Amino acid sequence: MDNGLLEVNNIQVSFENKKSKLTIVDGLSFNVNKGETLCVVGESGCGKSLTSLSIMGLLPKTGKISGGQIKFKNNIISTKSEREMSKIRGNQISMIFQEPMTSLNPVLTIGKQIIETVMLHEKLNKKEARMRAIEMLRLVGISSPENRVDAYPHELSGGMRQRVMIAIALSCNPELLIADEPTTALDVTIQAQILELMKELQVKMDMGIILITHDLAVVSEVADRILVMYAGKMVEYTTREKLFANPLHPYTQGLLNCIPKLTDEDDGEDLYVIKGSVPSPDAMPAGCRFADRCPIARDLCVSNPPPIVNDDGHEVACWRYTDKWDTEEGGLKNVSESRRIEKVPS
Amino acid sequence: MARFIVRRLGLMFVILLLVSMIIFSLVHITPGDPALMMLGQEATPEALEALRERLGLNLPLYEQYLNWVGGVIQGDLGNSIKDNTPVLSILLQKLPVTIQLTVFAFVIALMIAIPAGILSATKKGTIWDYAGTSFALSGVSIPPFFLGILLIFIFSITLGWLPPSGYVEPWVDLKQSILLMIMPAIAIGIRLSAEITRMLRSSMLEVLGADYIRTAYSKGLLGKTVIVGHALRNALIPVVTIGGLQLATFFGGAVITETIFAVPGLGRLVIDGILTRDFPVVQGAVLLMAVVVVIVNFVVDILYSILDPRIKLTGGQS
Repeated sequence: MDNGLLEVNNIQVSFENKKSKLTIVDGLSFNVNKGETLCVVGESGCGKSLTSLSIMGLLPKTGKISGGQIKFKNNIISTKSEREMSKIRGNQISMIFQEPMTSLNPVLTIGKQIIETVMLHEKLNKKEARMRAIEMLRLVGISSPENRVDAYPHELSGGMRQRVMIAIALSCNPELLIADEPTTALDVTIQAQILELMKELQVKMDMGIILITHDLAVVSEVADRILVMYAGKMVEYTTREKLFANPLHPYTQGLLNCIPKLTDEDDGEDLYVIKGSVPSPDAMPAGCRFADRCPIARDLCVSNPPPIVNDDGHEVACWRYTDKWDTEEGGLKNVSESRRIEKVPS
Repeated sequence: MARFIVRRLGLMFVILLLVSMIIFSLVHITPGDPALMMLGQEATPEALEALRERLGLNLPLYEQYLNWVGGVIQGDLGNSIKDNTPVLSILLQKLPVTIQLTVFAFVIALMIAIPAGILSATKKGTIWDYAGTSFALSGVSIPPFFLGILLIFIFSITLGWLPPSGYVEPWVDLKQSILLMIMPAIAIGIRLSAEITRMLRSSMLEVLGADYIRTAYSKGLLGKTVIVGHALRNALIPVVTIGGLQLATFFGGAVITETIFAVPGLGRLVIDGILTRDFPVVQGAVLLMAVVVVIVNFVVDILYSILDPRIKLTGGQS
């Protein structure tokens, strides 16, 4: 694993208070190599953002990594102290967020916000840091950066602000960039520009990218590998080619079916919808978490969590691809009747 | 910006004119005859009449007002009825004392409130937070005059650490001057301090949850830098309003506190003026306080635009 960058092993993220403990992300493993883009896909609330925050060590106060480990360049970072993490954040691992409108400090100039990062991690004086800030702004495609460097965030549009966020994130040449739905809040045309920019800079800087999104159109364009999450668990993990050519998990299949196709012959058909909704984190089913929405679920799925099946680098968490599936009696079960809910002890 | 300042100055003039009318009416509605107060109960009616004539008190009220305002505009606030010294020179003599007290109180208030507000917000739900919020609650509840008496009782009478009351000019004896100022400054400042603590705590809590704070952490900044460099300035914007309004009330609040601690400032001057029906002195002193309030508000507006670049000062519709 010479060009391995980030290795996430079986991590668990939980929120705890005196009374109860909620595990939001459960047993997630993946890795990112240099220069590679990993897309993490899933519905809102499935734990995508928490996963990325746990890599940064920026989980909210009540949350913590309660199991597994995260390795960055073969060093375990999931147990590092705040002080040690602060040397990595913004320097080796950077992050950009969903909301460019609110992610920049409104009372500081954008220049100051870039300079601050640069001076924190590199031995540059104020003048050099300012030069770097201007250079970064030019790199992310902001015109006349010499003047814009002294602008305040409210003087810029959303797309511009996201460019500034990217400039901040990349100002210290990070090896890994985590982008948490960076284009969700932007116009479609601006979305394409921002993605294009990220791609371009990735090649320039040989940077690994984790792109968190729920937009499969984006995924199909930029991903090298894809991790599909559902209710805090990995359901499918493979390369882009394999996933789009041959999605194995019923949830992934459902997601792909949800994309409306203009070429469909039967026009006027309703949009495909995955019926039901994500289980609540305090009432996770004992078996497969997707079972009660799954069109092919059997008794086996409802009562036992599925194993991860690895078919030549195509990982999927589904009973269907095990030997047990065939011994199980066929036919679909009425899942909602036999659904068993495991209550978290309170 | 220039337009804004010109507009505000014009507005200030109008406000002060209205204030002068109100002050004048209130002072003259108060029962009590200055001539009688000066000459005593045994004075002959002729002597009283002569004195009223000399002071202009027998003229119709509107004429008295116009005379007074006319003088004020030219910088003449009239003469004290009591000893005939110009009111302006009395005010200029008392003003530095009150300013000294106010600045002292303000500094003490901020020194307590800013750390207390930050601590109770960043350590929400801990003993620090409870200490901060209890301080804020009790500080707002205790009347300054009661706190003043309490302070004298504890620090002067029981412990004997501080002189109970009086005033020494700082250039005469700096140490004694500061010692004398501590208790009155605390008595006045604690209320502001409590209000700022409360405001700062809640605005800080709001700011700490903002996206740009997460961004700041994601850049690798440490807690202290994030709080002081990113959160505090945003959190201070609403606090400045309270601070400004309260600073203005210091001048009013000081009336009683100055009396308790025998500080010869504007407050004492007003009280003495009212007791002796020294109309020109009372009018002059209250007008001066009004000027201070208006100026402080003006400064607060300017401070806003410095703290928050999104606020642009303009001269109204442009």
